[in-house]
Amino acid sequence: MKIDRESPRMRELLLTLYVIRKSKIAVASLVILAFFFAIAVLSPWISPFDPTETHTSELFQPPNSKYLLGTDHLGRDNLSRILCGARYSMLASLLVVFVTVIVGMPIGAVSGYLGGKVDEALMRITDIILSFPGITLALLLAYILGRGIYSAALALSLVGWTSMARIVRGVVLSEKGKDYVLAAKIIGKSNFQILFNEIMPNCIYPVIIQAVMMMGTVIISLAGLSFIGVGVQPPEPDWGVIISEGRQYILEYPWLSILPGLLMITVVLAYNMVGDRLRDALDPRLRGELAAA
Amino acid sequence: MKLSYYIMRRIFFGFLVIFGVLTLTFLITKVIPQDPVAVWLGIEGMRDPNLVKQVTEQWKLDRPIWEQYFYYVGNVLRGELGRSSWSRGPVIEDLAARFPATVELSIFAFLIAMCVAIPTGILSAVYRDKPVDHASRIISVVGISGPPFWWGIIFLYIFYFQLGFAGSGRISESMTPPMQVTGFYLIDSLLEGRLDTFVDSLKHIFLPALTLGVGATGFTSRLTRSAMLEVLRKDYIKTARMKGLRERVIIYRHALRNALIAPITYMGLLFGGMLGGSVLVETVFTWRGMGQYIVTAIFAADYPALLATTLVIAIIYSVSNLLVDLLYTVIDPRVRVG
Repeated sequence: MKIDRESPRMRELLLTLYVIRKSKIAVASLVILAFFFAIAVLSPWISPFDPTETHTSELFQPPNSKYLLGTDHLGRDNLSRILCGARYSMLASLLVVFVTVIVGMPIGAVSGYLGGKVDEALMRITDIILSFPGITLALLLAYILGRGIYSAALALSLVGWTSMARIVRGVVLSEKGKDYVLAAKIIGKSNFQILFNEIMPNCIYPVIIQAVMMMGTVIISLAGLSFIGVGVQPPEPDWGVIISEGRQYILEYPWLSILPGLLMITVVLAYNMVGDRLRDALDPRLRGELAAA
Repeated sequence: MKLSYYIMRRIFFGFLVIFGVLTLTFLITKVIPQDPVAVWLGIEGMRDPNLVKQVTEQWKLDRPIWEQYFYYVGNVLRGELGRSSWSRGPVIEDLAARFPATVELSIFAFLIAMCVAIPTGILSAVYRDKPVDHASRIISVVGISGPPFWWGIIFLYIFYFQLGFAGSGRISESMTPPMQVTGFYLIDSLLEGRLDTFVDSLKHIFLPALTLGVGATGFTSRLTRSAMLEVLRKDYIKTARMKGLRERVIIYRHALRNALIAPITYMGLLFGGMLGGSVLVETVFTWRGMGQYIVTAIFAADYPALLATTLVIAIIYSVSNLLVDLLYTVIDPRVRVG
């Protein structure tokens, strides 16, 4: 396929990338995220030890040449546990957000485009789901499906799709009255074609912004579920699990709990920074200013 | 005329949502892969077919599903939320003791968050790009980015273990809790005239409330800042400046009330978020509220308690959203007219 650099969509993309590239914070955040994703993917190969392997004669070791970050209460290597823990935080959250997009986008689009009773019904369903704090719904599901990373992830997706659907619905509502939609109708395009070929491309950026913004909250929520014991199950090394286990030894060995939290802050902060910049870069009132700055 | 129509419509939808929540929890009881009769009677009880039959009939589990549904809704409306299969007592009694604990914590956290966030948001906007602005923005965004349960652990570590402030729980173990009148320790202790209890519970509520409020504080201060900046760009502010009004009057009389609409819109959501957040924070601080109850219920496989608590939390959440929406129509004249 030939890329037309002058087409409006391509120009918008290039301008957005340009504005993002001008922000040092945003670029640094992207580098940080890439780094953590690399760790998550490569963790089985780069971890010096098996993260669940216990060394009972070497409990609570301080950092040394064998264990670079020391060991925990079971003599497991902290570095390996933290590296492998990145898997859950980075990849499971990505999966959750992916599911919310896949489920939320078509529902929001159909709801907004058809309007009327379908819309009313779908929006009331999202109202009901949104009237549970996400975590309580997640707890219920964890109870029904059994504890574990998959039910925790499923639960968060079931809550998350609603906000995605609402955003897409909002865009579709504001677009469907425009002239190009009317033109498409006149030349005889089907509703399906109009919705998915004409209107939906306008949803891509709002959806991306929402997805990036969601990543942070999903990471925190997943870790929270693991922390209270319904997410990732010990001895698997999720960051939330590590924080929870370290809590009992906080007085003597505070770093066991502090370090995974700091890493989580770094990742979530990076997502938030990218999200903020992306939102500004796509705001028609701000983008010119930012591109010229 | 139009306003009352709007309010009626909003209240109607509020009830509809609560009804939907009831239906959803009912459906969940039907899909849970567990026989409630077996949970209640235990292995011994299940050996007695008469007992099984009796309980099944008593709970109308032999009736068609729609009849079960009306039975369930009727029970909930009468405050019958079932019996905990763990403590064997009615769940509503367990909740009656824990509900005020969670609400007290959430309200306190909410007040801390608003008292910190709104002034800092305004300062940030007024002194844009000055050190105050940078500091408050960095603190807000770092606060939002950290998991609340982790902040709780950090606060406990610093204030309790290092500075000896006040530890977990609602009150020191050496003290007797105040008699339950409202269930809010801060109010009950004052009603009893016990100042030492009041101070002690105030110390105890501070850290969990701070933890619970971290996210809301960061979010609200960012929101207030951007709303204020938006308002300060408006023409009527320029007009006020040209009239030669003092900056103080412009900011506090003209700009502030319009800038506050945005944070107010989110207050219901934030308060509801605190109910969800309390699950984690109460676990960290062993605060005996609904959040801790729900976690205990999960590990005790106590599903009547789990469902009832979820239902109560969802209802509080919907009602707080409803109230904020109504408050919003009163505050923002555009909603009233439009």
